[in-house]
Amino acid sequence: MKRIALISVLVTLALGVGFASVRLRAQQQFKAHTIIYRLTSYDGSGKPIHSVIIREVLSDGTWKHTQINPEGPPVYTSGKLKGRATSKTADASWPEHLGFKYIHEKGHDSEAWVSPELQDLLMFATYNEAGSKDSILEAVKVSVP
Amino acid sequence: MRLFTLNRVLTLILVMNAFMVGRTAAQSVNCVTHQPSCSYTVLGCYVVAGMTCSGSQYGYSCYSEYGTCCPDGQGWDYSRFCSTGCDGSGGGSC
Repeated sequence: MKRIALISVLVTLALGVGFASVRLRAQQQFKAHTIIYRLTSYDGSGKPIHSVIIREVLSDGTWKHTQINPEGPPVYTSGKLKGRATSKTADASWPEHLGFKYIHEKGHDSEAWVSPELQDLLMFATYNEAGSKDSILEAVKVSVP
Repeated sequence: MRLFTLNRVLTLILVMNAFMVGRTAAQSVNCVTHQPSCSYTVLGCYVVAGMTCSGSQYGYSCYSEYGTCCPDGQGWDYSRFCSTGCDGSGGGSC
C-alpha cells in the first residue's frame, strides 16, 4: 500500500515538473528595449519615401510599433514574439552598429543585421523580384532601460 | 467681365487639382505582394509608404511583415500584403 502511495507521489511530482518546465520555456524572457528605425521605401518613380518607426519591446516579448509617415496619421502595429531572433552568440570580431554587435544574415529576398544581445534587428532590407532594394529599415537609436 | 475672370480662375484651379491628383497617382505604385519562401517567427511589421491597395482592397494599407525563418539559422524572410492591420500573427507554423 505504502509503495503504491510513493509511486503516486513520484508520478504526480514528475507531471508537475514536466508541466512547469514547458510553461517556463513558453514564458521566454527578452531584453526590454526601444529602437528608433528610419524606414525608406520607394514610390513608383523610384523616389525614396522616409518614415520613422518607434519599436518598443517588453521583457515578455510584447512589441509595439508607432510609425510616422510623411502623410496621414500615425500607424500602430503590435504583437508578441514567439521565439528568438537568433541562437548565435556575439563574437569579439563581429561588427557593431550603435554599440551593439551584429551578424549579417542573408535571406531569399532580404538581408538583416541581427543583434544577439537585443534579439532584434539593427537593419533589414527587402528586395523585389528584379533584385532592386525596395525597402530598408535602419536602426538610428537604441535605448535599453 | 467679373464672371468671366471667376470662371477662368476656377478652371485654372480645377486643372491644377487634376494635375496634382494625376501626379500622386502616377507616383504611388500598387502594393507589390510578396510570398515568403519559408515559415517564419514574426518580429514585426510596418506599412510600406508609397504603395497603395486598389480594387476590392481599396482603402487597405500595404503591410510588410518580417521574421526569422524556422528552424533558427535558415535566414530571414518577409511577406507583403494588403490588409486593414497587422498583429504579427502570420508567418506560418514554426
